[in-house]
Amino acid sequence: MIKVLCIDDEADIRSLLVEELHDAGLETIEACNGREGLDKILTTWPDIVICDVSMPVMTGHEMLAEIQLNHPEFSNTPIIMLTAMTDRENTLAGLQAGADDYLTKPVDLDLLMAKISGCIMRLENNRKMGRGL
Amino acid sequence: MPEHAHDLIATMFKGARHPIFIKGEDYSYLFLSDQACKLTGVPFEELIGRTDYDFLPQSEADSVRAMDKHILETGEERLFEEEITSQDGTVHTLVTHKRRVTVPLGGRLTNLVIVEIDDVTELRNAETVLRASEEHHRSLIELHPQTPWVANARGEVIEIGPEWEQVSGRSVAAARGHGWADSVYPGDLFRVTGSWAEAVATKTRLDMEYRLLNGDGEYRWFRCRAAPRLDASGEVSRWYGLLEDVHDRQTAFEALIASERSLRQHRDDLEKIVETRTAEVKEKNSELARLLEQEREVNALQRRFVAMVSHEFRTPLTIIDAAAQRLARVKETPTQAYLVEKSMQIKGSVARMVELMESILAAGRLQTGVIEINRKSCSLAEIVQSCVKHRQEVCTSHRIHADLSGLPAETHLDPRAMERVFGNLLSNAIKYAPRAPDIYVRGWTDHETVHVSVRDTGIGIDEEDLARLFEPYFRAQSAAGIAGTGIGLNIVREIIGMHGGQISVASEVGQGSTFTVSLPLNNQNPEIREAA
Repeated sequence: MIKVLCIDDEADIRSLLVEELHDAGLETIEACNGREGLDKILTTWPDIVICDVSMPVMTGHEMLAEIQLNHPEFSNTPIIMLTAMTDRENTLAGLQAGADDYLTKPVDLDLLMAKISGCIMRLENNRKMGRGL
Repeated sequence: MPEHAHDLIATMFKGARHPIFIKGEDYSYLFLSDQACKLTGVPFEELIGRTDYDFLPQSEADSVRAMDKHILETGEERLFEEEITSQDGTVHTLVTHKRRVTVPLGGRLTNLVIVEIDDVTELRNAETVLRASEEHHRSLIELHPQTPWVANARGEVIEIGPEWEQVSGRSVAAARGHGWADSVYPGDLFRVTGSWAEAVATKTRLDMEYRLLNGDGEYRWFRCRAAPRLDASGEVSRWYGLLEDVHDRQTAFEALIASERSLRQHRDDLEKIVETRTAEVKEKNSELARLLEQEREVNALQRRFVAMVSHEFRTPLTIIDAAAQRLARVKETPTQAYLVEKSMQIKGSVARMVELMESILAAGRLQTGVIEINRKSCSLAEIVQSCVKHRQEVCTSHRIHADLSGLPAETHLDPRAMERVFGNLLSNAIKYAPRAPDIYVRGWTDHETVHVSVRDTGIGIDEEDLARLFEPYFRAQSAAGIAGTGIGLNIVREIIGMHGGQISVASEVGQGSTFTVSLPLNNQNPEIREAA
């Protein structure tokens, strides 16, 4: 079963995302900031990560940098950033830090789910290839 | 003339240095010395026994004869000077001395004329040269405005040129000794007498300038030079001096110096002006740079504010939008609980947006100065308690512990403004203490002041940020990643200020923050309406 980690400091946003992911038959894990999110990545090995940018304790960008620097084994995990920061600089900074995609809030749930489906397809293809080898 | 007498005279006078002629009573030449023969250019033998008529022109011989006759008859001497041209053409100046002598000759006394001649040509030439040189120097001195003077070894003036009278308007006699000093300008006197005394003592030349009073009561500049003449033993025999009028030169020199000084002053003034202007320009530049920096800072703060506002609106909008999308996806009939949950999410987000909008409007009113405080008789304890209650209702993650028993029963405040103050402080306490669930609210009265503190045990604030914490749009470093506009605490401070109170903060990073509002109990006239 595909595991998706939702990181956001807003409980309401988390719960709405979790609802949508459950409907799609995915398993979910929650975290309320970057630090907690990093811990969950290291301990639960999620398949996909959905992450807010502006959060207390550790921001989404700081978490990305931490993964690239200290946990390169997770650098291939697909990470979709969700942010209320709409400026171009912020988007560029996130993509450069290793994000796979960048969606702005308010978020179109259909668009989000389509991106997640794409990620799942790639994951499954990779796994098949891995078995074939 | 007997042989022996002739021999005697010849022996005596033949080799004499001067030409000597001896004539007898008949005016014939009895004897000529070697020099006399040389002078006439005629051999001795041809002259003996001859008279002047034999070799001088008639008229000349007549005048010689007349003089000789007079001398022989009277015995008077004659001394005269004449110029003659010798046979080689050179002109000689001769001084001739004629006298009568009476000698026993041939047994009787005979009168003779003895003529002695001195050739003074060289002497006269030297005198002429000397006289010419003297005249030359005299005219030089007379042409120059100079007054010569002479002093003795003790430095006392013994002679001074007659020009002194024009120089000083005083007599030559008055200048003698040290009398001249009475004409010296009093301001120069000490220097002048000192230098003169020193020159006299050390026997060295003097050259100095000073002012002398003239006959018209004016002082003029003079240059005075003096040199000692030393005798064989090295002692001063005389001082020779010259007094020269240098007034015009001196005044021209002074004028030159004055003009140069004024020029230099002018240049210095110009430099000073340039310096001042440069400093002014620099000051204006730095003031401009400061203003520009300030403007830039305000702009940066406002940009950040706009970004924050956008972010702050987008968060509740995201919740509302997502909730609406979720409701649209429900395929079967939704449960009542599900509908309530979604509507609560939507309502909560709308409330957040309203609050946000109001605080932005309040900030705008603060900046334009139209905010008003309407004091009413009310209970601060009740207002704070109500804020705590409302906050606790929407926040399940934190516990708010309130002790407001120390507050007075009645206060005069603007209740809505106070709700904003404590609503903001409580919301901050929760927001900046995400993992420290206990919030403490305490109220107490101290003399004429009421205090309410709100304490959290959250992330705290850096010490360097405390001073700027209440500035508009400012956000502490420790607030990074936590949503906020930076206007809440600014509004709080303004409202408290309008009530005549103060707000203070104590904080430590990682330990939490305590905000304390202090309001005066007096000065509670309900009529007071203040504008920011």
